[in-house]
Amino acid sequence: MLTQVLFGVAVLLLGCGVFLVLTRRNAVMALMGVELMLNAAALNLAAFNRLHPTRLDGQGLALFLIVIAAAEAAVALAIVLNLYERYRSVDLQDADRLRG
Amino acid sequence: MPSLPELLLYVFASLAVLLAVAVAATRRVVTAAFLLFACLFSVAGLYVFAAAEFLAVVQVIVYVGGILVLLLFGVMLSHRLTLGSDPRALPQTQLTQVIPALAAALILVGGLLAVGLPWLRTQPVPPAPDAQVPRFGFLLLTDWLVAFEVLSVLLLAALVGAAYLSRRPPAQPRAVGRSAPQESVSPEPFLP
Repeated sequence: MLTQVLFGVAVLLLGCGVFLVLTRRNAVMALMGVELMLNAAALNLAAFNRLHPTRLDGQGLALFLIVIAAAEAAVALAIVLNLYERYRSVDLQDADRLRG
Repeated sequence: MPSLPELLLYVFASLAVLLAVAVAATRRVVTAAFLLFACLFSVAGLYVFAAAEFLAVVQVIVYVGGILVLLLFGVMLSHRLTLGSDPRALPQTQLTQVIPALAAALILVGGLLAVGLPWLRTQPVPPAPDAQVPRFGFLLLTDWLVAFEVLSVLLLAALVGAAYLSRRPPAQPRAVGRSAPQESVSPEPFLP
């Protein structure tokens, strides 16, 4: 029952993240959706590791996932900054040219 | 009346889900950032129930205290853009975009829950293990050593990349003898 609750929470967080990424035009809101999805995946890994506690592979993968999310968030915010410098807005619909 | 650990589990779980739905529903960026802050704290509480105490603390320190603080800094330092004082204020999300996205999210969630929950009911749950931190430390330096080192290099690359990407464009030096001062690097003119 515990794993079911954790799995359910992870899936619902994933759904919210997907909705945010698909719907939002603000780049920072889309980034929040991505962070929610990454968190959902990490929570799911930790929950499934609860079923096999002899090995810590699920928790290790969740740990690496958190680290990768940190690196990705820093670079994504730098990209959002550059997006604003170039297009004068953070609307994702305005970023429509490949080479400035 | 469920026992106290069960009650706490339900409290953390419902808090996390409600806050995530609130993040998805709100229109304001600052509100969404703070709601996400609280949501990730609740997820850290849920990690404890998964016998992942080390991960819970890492979540609070790295995710909430690092990533979310960075996000909040970004949101609050750029509030001019996101709060609509920019002349081209961000248009609202249209209903024609919300309904397909909501349908996609609901299909994804429903499908995963329909497949996963009955399967999880069949799995035996072993008793909760002892402290994880010594095992984590041991595994990081033995089985997971390559991933550990690669992640260190990845973090260094991300650090250098983010610092480079967010640098100020360097001002061009003024040529000797020119009457008009040269402009510093100007951004791309906006699309007509």
